[in-house]
Amino acid sequence: MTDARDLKRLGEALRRGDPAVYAQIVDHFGPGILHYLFTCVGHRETAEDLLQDTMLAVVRHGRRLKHPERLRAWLFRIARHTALNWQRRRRRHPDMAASSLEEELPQGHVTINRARDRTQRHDLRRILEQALASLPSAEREVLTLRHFEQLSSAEVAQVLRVRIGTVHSRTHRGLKKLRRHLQAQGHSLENLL
Amino acid sequence: MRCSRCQRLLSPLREGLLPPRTAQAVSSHLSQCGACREVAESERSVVETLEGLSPPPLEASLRGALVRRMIREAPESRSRVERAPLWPRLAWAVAPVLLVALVVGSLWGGLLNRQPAEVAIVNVVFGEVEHRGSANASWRPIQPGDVLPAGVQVMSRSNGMAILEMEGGSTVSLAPESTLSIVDRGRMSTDRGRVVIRSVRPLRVLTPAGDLHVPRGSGRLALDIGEEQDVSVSVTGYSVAWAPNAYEALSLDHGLVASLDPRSARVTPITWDVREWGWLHTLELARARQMIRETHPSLLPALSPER
Repeated sequence: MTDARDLKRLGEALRRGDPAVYAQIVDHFGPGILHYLFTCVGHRETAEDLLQDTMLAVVRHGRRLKHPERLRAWLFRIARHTALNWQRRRRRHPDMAASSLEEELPQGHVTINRARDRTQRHDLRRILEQALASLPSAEREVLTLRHFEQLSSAEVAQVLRVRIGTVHSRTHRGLKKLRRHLQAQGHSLENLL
Repeated sequence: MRCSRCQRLLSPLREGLLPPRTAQAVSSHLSQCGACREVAESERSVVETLEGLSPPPLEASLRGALVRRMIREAPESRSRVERAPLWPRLAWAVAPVLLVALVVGSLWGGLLNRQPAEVAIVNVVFGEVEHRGSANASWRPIQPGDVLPAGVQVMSRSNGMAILEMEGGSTVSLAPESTLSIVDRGRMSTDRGRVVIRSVRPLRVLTPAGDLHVPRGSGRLALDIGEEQDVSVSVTGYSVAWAPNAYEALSLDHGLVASLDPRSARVTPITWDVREWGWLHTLELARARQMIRETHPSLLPALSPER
């Protein structure tokens, strides 16, 4: 759902406390939030638990949504807070554990729409996910939100509570490192695609 | 413009966020600088590849659990709980009346054993569904989040079939005394319907001919649908079940409830067995119907009772 009017309509319904909107929110944003949480914590089951915590927080705080048109950024911000709280509770290092990501990634979590066959999809997914997992958390988070979940730079800035210029610089650094990582691994995107 | 600045501005350039003059300067630099052009092209490839990766939909069980929890935690539900302290003051006044009503009700047919009086709709999976509180009330569409009280009538409008996910984990489950329409009202004037119900416990079934009681372990029920007759079947508690591992198609066209196995091409009347109630494979159901239409069109007429 990218239409600003649809987002605003959903946000307004949520603010009114209309329960009819919950299924729509889960359908439209659940998969993306789950993927984002997965990249934050590196464990599928934990990400599902945190998705539930996120959605319950959405229900509890829905009436406080000030800008319905910013619903998507608001949802991801809640997801991010939920993940950070979990990390604090676990007293883990704020940087994410790339090894655990790599362990789970080959099991398949993300599907690709454009690749030509299943093997190609699997390879491309695995390679890109592992390349992303090698990035520092700040840059991985920006790339995940910006390009996996396709939030705008302004929305990413709202989620992370940073300036939009910071989003751009992190995007630039992240893409640069991603490119280098792929090249170091002997991959080129032209071959992957 | 220096190369480092140009490359930093590639991301806002792709998003169209740069002022026209800056965008022009970046474009101009890119047209002259092969290294930056290569970086821009490479970044564009990475970005397009990342954006081509999309997460799959949530698993049905996870999705259902999430929506149910959200509906249960909705502010309206909580406010209902918050009003609970009023009850102690009223309890003493209404207790004698309730006691009499419960005793009389139990004598009139197992009122004490009935299911909770209302149930929330988690999702309308299939069909266009409407409901009304009484025979004289107007029909209203059902939306996810609606809470249906006991006694409400539910009617499918689209093709005689409706699948609802209900709070509590059931599919197409209805509150006690509610009514599920199994035949499209517009198509039943000359059709005949048949429903087979098998139960491990006694069921009360409401039919146009009156209330029927289906005893434990048997209970085949045949309905003859006459002209202009509103055909509806309601089972005490939950209404429709589906064997979770069976890849079957359910057709309610022309009033016949039947299962069709596309592999063996066998058509049999559906038997609802409450022991097999579980999550309906909703997508499987829709896909099976579509698949039968595409791959076994010759079998479709077999679902019609006229054949």
